[in-house]
Amino acid sequence: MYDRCVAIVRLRGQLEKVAGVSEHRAAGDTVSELLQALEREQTALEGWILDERGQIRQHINVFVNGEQAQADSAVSEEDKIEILPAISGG
Amino acid sequence: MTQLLVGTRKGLFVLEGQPGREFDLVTRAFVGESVEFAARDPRTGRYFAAVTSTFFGPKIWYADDLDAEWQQATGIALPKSGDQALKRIWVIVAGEDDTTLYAGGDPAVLFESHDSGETWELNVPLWEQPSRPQWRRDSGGLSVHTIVPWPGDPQRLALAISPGSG
Repeated sequence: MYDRCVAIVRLRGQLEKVAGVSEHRAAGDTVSELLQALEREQTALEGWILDERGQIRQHINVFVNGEQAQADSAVSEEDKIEILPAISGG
Repeated sequence: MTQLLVGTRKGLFVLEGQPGREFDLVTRAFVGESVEFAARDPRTGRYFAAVTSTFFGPKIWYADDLDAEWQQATGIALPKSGDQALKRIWVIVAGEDDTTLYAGGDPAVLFESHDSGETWELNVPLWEQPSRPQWRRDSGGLSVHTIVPWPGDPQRLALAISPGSG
């Protein structure tokens, strides 16, 4: 059992390929805690979303229930978390 | 037949041909990613690519066959919860013994592998070198950009570190 909020993290594209799953339930009270839990439990993702300092990589965007979030944004039970690389081109 | 591994900001290009003649493009990999360095280890035939993803950070990948899927090497990271993050891997070099490889990068960091490049670990003595706080980076970074194994002596290594190599 988790003693923290459990949110649903959705992985797409390369992150889905690396993790081998498209969804993962992770516990944490903030986006940062949740991403740390995600990397602990899906070890193939280590270093892909967070750098060694524990910071979200510069061009990774995190959305909580469709709203862009920051590392310290609060997470509630059953929130839906999307992790998306920035769109680039040219 | 000569094979060229060409790392670019748009990926890895593998060319084959005879010197003095036109080369053919035979394979591409890491399309759209910055490939800082690529090499084939002559001892094992294994290919390596140092790739800095704009999104997912620096990684080393390896493949035993250019048609096979590249595998991510593990251990290419600085100590967790420090105040620095690895920026890029700049060079990969085969050591003097049969299985050792070295990788250098920014911030002035050296990694070693003793299993032909599948797992790596930070060279702690260089990372904790007492004069490191005085090493100055510039806008181009501060990188281990040249690694020279000592011929006949696997325990010795020469490194070059300088700013502005990025």
